[in-house]
Amino acid sequence: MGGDESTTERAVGAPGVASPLSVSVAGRELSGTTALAALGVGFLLFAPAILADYLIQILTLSLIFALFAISVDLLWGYTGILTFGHAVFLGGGAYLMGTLLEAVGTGPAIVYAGLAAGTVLPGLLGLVVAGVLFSRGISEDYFTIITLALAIIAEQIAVSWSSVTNGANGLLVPPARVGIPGVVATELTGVPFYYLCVGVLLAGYLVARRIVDSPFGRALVAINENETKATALGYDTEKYKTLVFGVSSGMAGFAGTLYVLSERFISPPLLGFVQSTDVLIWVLVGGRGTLVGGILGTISLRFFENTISGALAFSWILVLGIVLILIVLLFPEGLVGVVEVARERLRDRRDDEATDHSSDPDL
Amino acid sequence: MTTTQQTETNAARVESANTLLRIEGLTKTFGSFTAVDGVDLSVPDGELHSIIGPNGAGKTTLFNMIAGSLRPTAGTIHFRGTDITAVDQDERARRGISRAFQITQLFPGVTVHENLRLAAQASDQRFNPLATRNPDHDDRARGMLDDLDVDARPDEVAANLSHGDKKKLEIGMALVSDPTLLLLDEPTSGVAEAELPALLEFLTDAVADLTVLLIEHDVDLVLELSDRITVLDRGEVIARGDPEDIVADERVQNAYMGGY
Repeated sequence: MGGDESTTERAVGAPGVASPLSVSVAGRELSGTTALAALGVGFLLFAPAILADYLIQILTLSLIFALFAISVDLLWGYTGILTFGHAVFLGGGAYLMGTLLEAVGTGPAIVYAGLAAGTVLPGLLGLVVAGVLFSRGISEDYFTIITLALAIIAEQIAVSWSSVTNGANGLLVPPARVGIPGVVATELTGVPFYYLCVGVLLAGYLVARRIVDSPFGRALVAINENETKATALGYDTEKYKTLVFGVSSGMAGFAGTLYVLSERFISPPLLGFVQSTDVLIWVLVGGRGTLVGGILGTISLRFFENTISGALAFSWILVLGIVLILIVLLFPEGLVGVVEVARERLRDRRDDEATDHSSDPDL
Repeated sequence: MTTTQQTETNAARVESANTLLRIEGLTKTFGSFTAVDGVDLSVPDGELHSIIGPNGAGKTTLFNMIAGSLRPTAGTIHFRGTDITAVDQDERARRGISRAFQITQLFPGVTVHENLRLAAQASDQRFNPLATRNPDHDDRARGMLDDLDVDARPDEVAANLSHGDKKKLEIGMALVSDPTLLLLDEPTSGVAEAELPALLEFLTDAVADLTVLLIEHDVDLVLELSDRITVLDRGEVIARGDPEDIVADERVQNAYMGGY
């Protein structure tokens, strides 16, 4: 009894009382979440007006890595597939784009071909890897170990195959030009490129959001929650896991192509184990299974890294380690969790004030 | 073809017309241990058939093979006249074999409503990653939630439910897909005395028009609900019949005395 009433109550919130984090836009009151999202997007849009050029450069790369983090969150946060090798697909996309630019040409047609190939081929590779492993009924733990092995192998290949990758020295990539093939072409750098990355990240986020909210995405959550049950109910979990791994790999590859356009340099660690674990940390700190957490975690940790590594030289990684442990222990839900808790506290306090001297001992 | 053979074939055809589940010589061995040993079982449409027997008799192993989570060592399973022995578990579920586990298997981190909705969604026929939200799944989840009469709110996370509510939700998730055959494994185990009557009332209603295979320790309940009963002991069928026959069967009493 009363079940539906209480749902409504919870969804609507206390009527007539504005949330402290709400903003009123054109007479419509936006929820706290929408307000925070607007704040975040607003910051990204106005950042070039506030921040120095080198910070915009850092931020640009962070946005690209944030897209990579979203691809990992789809796997780890939503489906429960932990991978220690996702940089293979990021780096794969990067090397594809880099090699095309370096060996074939730098015109718009090549860039578009690179974007497509750098997305589709890593995506297919992901489908094959996951398809083969999951169809053999491999357990999640072994899957993780194998992804780790893949990262080590991929990095080694990049080091050894120096005729293409220039080995451990890395590949210098000439600047790419975008535009209309055969008509107009221009280099895309600095603030315009930054805005492109903002747009791409938002689009990537919306695509990922769309995926996780769809029946397909809900099935991924079911698999993450209890795969035995999901199978017993009729979900072909192998297909779901394989497809999401492919999609995520393609997304990572796409981020890799942007990485090359931004950095114009690739070296083997980009597709290695360390890069693969870095992204796990970004997702963990931001908050797993939230998508937004991946973005928050990536931007804040990379910002943190770039500022304190200057001040603390070699000990910064130690500080970073301690911060990570503290976050995991104190805020297992990540930064997104911290925001949620803060919002609840604020709401509770305001509810207290609204109801005044409540006799409810629970409050 | 002789007349006798003809008659036999016809009889088999008549039988298969309303036989929902037919199991022949089903066997499962784990190493040198035989958990289920040449079990035959035929369940007609609409029957509530109970599988009883002492602990370790092979009841749950039998369920695992019917549901498809375990491949038999030998024997065949026919469902609605087709051989499903080699059909995957998820495919069997989509064809209408639904299962409620003895130890509740929920999606603990999502809401009660979403648990039921996910179960409704799963019974849709194909793997379709581009499918959009189907409001019918929500409606069925809501409808089932009303029938279940759980104390928890629909937006309560499943992990927070009482044991009785978890049991109900487990059964609800098996029912919301509108199954053809329901496998119920110990629906009352661990349910508090006080919660039992309500659960039984719900169960009796819910399974009235269904074909059900029931594993249950509560003998009184089994005798009350069942159309027919199969008794397993050490993987073998030792008796089968309607409740009166089973109560009177000497071997059944011996097996139970031996088992406890």
